[in-house]
Amino acid sequence: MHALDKWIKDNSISRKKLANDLDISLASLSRYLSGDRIPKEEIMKKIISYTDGNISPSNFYIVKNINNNFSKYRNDHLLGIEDLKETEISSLLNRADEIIRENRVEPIVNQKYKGKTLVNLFFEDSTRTKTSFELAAKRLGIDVINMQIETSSIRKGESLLDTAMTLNAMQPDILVIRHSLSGTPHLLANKVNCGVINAGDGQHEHPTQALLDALAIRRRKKRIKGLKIAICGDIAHSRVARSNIKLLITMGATVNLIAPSTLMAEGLSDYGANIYNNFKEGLNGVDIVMILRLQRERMQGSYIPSAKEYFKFYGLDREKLSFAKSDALVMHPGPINRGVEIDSELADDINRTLILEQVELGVAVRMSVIEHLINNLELK
Amino acid sequence: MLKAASKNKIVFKNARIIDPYSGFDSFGGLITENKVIKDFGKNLFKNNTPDDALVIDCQKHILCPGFIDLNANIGEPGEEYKENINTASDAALSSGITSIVCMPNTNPVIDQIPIIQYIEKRARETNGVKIYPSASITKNLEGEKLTEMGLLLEAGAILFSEANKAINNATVMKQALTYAKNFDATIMISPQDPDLSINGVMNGGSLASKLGLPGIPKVAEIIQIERDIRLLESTGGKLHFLNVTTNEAIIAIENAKRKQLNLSCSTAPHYFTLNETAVDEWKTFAKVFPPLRNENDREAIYNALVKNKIDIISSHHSPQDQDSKRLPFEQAEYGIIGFETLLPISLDLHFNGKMELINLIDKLTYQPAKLLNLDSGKLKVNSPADLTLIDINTPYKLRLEDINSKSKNSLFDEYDVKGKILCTIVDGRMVYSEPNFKFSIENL
Repeated sequence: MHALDKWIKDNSISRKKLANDLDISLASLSRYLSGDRIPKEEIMKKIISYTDGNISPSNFYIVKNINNNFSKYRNDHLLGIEDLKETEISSLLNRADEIIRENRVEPIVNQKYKGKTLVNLFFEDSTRTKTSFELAAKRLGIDVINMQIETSSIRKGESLLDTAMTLNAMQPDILVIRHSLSGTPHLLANKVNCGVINAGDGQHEHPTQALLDALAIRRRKKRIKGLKIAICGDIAHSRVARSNIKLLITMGATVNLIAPSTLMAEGLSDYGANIYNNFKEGLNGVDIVMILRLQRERMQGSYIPSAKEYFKFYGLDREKLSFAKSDALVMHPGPINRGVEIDSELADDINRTLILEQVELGVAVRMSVIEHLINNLELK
Repeated sequence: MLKAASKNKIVFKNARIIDPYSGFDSFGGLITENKVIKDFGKNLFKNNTPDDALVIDCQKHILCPGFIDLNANIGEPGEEYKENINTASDAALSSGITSIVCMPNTNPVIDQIPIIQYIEKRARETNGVKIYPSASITKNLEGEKLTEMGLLLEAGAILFSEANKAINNATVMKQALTYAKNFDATIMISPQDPDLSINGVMNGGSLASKLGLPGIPKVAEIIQIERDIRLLESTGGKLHFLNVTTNEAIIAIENAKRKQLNLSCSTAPHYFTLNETAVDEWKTFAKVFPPLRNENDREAIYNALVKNKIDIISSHHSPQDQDSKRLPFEQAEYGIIGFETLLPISLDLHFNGKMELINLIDKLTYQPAKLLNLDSGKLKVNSPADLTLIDINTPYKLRLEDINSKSKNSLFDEYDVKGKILCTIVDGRMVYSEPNFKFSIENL
């Protein structure tokens, strides 16, 4: 509820009376209250004096969605890091750590979730994420259905909601969705009764990837808070970058984004990230270097002139890595373009990279997320 | 509903008559006879009214020319499941709109005489709102070959437009302006550079980046406007920019107008009422083209209207059915319906923007009439009796279920507004009356 609305209620007057007394229309008042509009200075002054200073201008500068949409997703779905608080991220990571410990002692199939169903709905090609979810679910004793939708018909989007409704009728417990268009998991989450996990939507988010990256960092560096982390490459088109930026900053890390300006997205500094176009400057003193995949179609043409030029200035090799801290580690969400974004030999150096570890931890993180959602759904 | 054409004379008494054309704003009366306005004035019908006329006591509500909407999509031909001429007509008339210009981006495109004839035939059958088809500038909206402008004008095309598109090729645009000049025809452009706006689905910037959506940068609009102004300077001719949405566009147009170019521009209520945050979390109803811009631009458009830097307000009525909107944001169709919200939303300019009512009504009536060379849009003896009676005092809530348009894709549901249309007259016939409005009618 808007602070002014609360004030109206507490002082038992009506919106109408307030609008009248302020000499504004009811429509404008309700727009102020819904956050659609911010009062002009003269009206703001009137409001402040009318409420004896109980309402201040800061009450009107609210982000509109804070109290509606996001919170409702929080318990039922994992649609983006955006929806998670620091404590929630920590508890998901802690549980993943526990799972790893349990599994290393003796891999057991948990019977607790027997009879539950998880549907993998992948509208975009994926090997690692899909298998990782499948394995995670199976380790929890959950039945898995893999839906590989033919890419051609999806492009027209014709069957999306129909497919979702059909699946919903089968009453799965968890729907894992990957789609090439941003916001699709949110669209489905509004239509189905089960928990939805976003396994990557367009250029928006890929939350489980960010969680597993965070877990990998935390296991090696024992913390995230206070670390300096560089994310390099095609930031503009990367959902992994967006999820990672949000997560790492929420957890108290410093994030440097490094990309040629054609591949840098607008507005990411709003989250508190530092923007660099120069690789060496951006790597200065960092603990972790995250390299993003560069898609082939962006290598020729208007984003960057050629793969060769890209590697020269933005590909990671040992020489550039020397600008980071001496114990800096290299991460990559995969699959790797060797010799484009990362030097091939460096990619294979297990002392400096976490690349394979990232894959392994993915299963544990996804188990943790699935458990969390199913437990929440059962509480309802 | 009153029986249409029950009398060939209608008297409106006790009305606040507003006519932007003559600057008349005063209480008085007005009489129509057959299809035209016969007389109006301050003291007319104060004491006595003629016996052979239908007399409406306007109870001090506002009587003004019916609105003329420059930018409407009415679904025909091709998308009758979204809107058809009957539903569009009902929606328009209940919104005080008596004339509309329909856009050529139909299926098939309005680039040939038979399509114009078809729309005119359907409009005659419907016998409601006056429909003026615009024809495309280039064949099939491909931006390459000019349409038969002269013949299309003869058949009834009111102007030439590419609907939501601009013409990418500067040579084609130059030829279009030059050739249209032969017939004194208006070229109407929705200015967004096609290359810069390619794939874009919302305003470019932080929010688009955050939602992972490709953006349409502001500069797409500015570049197109500046280029087309340069072309207009070199060719002469008449150019109108639809749906201007940015501060810089206003500045460019203002500067060009000082050079005495025959240039005008319009915008739509959503561009001065909403900003990009209406997209919220991929809310497809907020997907419009051009996109809703940021708060600074919204405010700039709002102020430009108040300061009379924008000539016309049009509805940008673009009905879309549920299946076209219930999709991932990038796949959903563009558009928002606009007839029924045109006046109520625009009235904010008067109530909160301190814009004189007569100036606001000017942008809905006489200014578009002037651009289109229509005889309506003003109160003048022997001009068409296209009128509307408005109650701007009683507040009400906009509700989607009350909307006459076949599609309900509006973002203004549940808005508290004023500006109810009490009745609408086209060619001296009462074609709409508000069900709850108590007419006190004499001589019925």
